[in-house]
Amino acid sequence: MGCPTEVYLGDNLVFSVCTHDPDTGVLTDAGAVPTYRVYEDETAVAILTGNMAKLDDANTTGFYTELVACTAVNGFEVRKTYTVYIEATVDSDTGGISYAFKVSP
Amino acid sequence: MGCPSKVLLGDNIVFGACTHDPDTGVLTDADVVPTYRIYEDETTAPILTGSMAKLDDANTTGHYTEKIACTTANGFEDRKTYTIYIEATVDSDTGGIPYAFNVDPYGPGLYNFDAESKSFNFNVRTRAYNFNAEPKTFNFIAKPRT
Repeated sequence: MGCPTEVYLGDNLVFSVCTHDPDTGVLTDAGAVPTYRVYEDETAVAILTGNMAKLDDANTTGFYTELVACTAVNGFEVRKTYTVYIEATVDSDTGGISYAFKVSP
Repeated sequence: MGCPSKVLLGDNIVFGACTHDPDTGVLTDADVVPTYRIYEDETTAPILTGSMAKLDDANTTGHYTEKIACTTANGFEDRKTYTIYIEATVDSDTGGIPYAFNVDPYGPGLYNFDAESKSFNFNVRTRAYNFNAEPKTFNFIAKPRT
């Protein structure tokens, strides 16, 4: 899974995805950079949203990452679960994946 | 997920991948051994690259693993996230998967009591412990493993 399952409050965390064309299963760049939304527990309003970015584009395909600061200022709290929902569109087909991690004191 | 989420600085970590033919979804050996690249946070230049190797080929299909030493000499640091980008080609189609793990100076939260030395050994994230056992009081400060 492209996301650690635990982070200390105040530390950074990086999550990542590899996008594939669902018609062929082949590793393929997304039509646009994938978007993400970070939810605390089951609260419907995301605490963070944004776009991921390609990393090492010259040597990878469809590889996107994002670094988030898991700070109190950004809304993170200890002993809560945070779910990252990611959407990416490849060849006009939209796929998604979710990751989850906990914040430790 | 074929990768632990946390490793102690200086320890080894093993990650694995099972390759499938995307046309059929069937577990299939890759055309060549998968390659990997390991990135620290979002730094574009990888700190480690290489190829994975088959494991237990006689009893598995498309099963590849790699062991790496998460040492300072290899560029690993406490409290950073490391992302592994793996590419594998099966039946001429290339797929990929990312894994991520943190390097943790405090380990998995284990502790023990060494009767011979009469000492408590903590290896935990918690900064301090107070253990009161009448008539004595013990104060413990947990420190990162060195």
